[in-house]
Amino acid sequence: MTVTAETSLQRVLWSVIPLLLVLTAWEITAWVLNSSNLPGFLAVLDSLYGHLSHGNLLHHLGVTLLRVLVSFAMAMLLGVVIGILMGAFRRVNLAGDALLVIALNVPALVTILLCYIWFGLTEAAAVAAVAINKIPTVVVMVREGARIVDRQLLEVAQVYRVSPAVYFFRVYLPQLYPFMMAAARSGLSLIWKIVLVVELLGRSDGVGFQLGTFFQFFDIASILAYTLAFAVVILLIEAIIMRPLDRYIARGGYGQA
Amino acid sequence: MVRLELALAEKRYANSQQTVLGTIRAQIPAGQFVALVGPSGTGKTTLLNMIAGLEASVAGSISVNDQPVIGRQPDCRLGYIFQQPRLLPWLTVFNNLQLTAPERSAGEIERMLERVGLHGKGEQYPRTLSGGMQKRVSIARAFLAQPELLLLDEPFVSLDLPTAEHLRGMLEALWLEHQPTVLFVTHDFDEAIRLADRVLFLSAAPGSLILDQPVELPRPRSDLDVAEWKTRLLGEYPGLLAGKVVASDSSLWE
Repeated sequence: MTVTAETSLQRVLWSVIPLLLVLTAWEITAWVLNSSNLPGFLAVLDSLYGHLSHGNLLHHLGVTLLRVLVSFAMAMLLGVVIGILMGAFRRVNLAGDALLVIALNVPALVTILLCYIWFGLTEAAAVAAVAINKIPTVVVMVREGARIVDRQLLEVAQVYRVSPAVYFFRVYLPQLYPFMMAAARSGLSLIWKIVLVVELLGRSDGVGFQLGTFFQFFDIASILAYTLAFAVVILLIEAIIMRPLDRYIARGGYGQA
Repeated sequence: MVRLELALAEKRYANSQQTVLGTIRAQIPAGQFVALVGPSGTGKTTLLNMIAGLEASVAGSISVNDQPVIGRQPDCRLGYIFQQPRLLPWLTVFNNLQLTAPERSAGEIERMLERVGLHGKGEQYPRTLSGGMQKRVSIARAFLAQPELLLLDEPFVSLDLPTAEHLRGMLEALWLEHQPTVLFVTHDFDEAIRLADRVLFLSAAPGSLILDQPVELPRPRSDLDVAEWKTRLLGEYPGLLAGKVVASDSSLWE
């Protein structure tokens, strides 16, 4: 018990101390510079409190989060399906490979601008622009997983004639979970950055829109307060959703060296 | 009840000129226990895979109850104990068994685990079991399927002697009880004589059938019976286990 408690404490210290050092350095630098361009951490906290109690931070945060989740779900769903098809069927891969390379390298800004031009400044265009940016990376990761699926395990399912649903969901798909998880984790961080750009360019609400407004007023404290709020949300998603999912996927030691 | 007919002329892997199996012609009546013995690399596993419908591209035919099975599953309850245990690492032992035998109750699965010496291991993941224990789970999986056709690819090779002996007894009991047709690949000649009604000997690669030998010993077979039978056969065919049939001068099978 003592050993476990010490280990946990050490783990917490190792993750908290660097954060505290950065915050201290930030606070000291802001105090030394004494400039409105770099408000201190405490001033940002104060601004955050103000936006929480009197502003619309929660509303904008919720709108952005919804966009993140919808585009994330779309990107994962389509990316996984296309990735499986490309990994499992050589001809599909041949047909799609060049397109995939192009899609991976089209700048996010181009996709966003084109979606807004072609489909108007709508919610659907915003979400589609974000999803389109993320789909290629999901495809690449899932395709790699689909290429190295363990045929021997699939043969067991064939021999014992499990139903198609069991074959897919309990024998085939779990082999792709580690790859899907990697795609989800990198996807979430990429998507929320793109969502902010999408909101900045063509929406009238959301964190990105608010950041644009604050930028026009050189309200650096508010920019940092919103960033901080979103960082907290992402950390919560990591702790509440991603880590438990990781543990679920790694049950039985699967996907570990 | 499952009849098996092998009429193979040649088997090559796709995109390869190498022949992995030669000519094999044999009819295996329903309920017969047949051992397949031959040197390494003669295509014994390939033959089992072909019967299970996992391999295609072959000249000739394999039929189960007169239905061709090349590249498709035989139309019967099939059990296959692979060389490797092939357990799904993300499922517990119990869930591995339940996946392939969903019609079996939890009690039946527990009893089967007990019979293979894995009582209380149902909630463990395969990674936490030794290689021998994983092998026993794969044996339990095949037995739970109550197969009409049972294919075994060196099933007892990595087990300790008492466990292997126990499981051989279980296999024999299962076969006597349900009379599945069994095709049993082994390198252990004694094991083949002890268990089989008939032994098919394959030549060195590409494996062709060189001797089809019935084992007419009463059951249960003692070590002494097995040893005497083996000595007589190897006396007549000294190169048999190396995949060569060169009969000696004396005829010991009169």
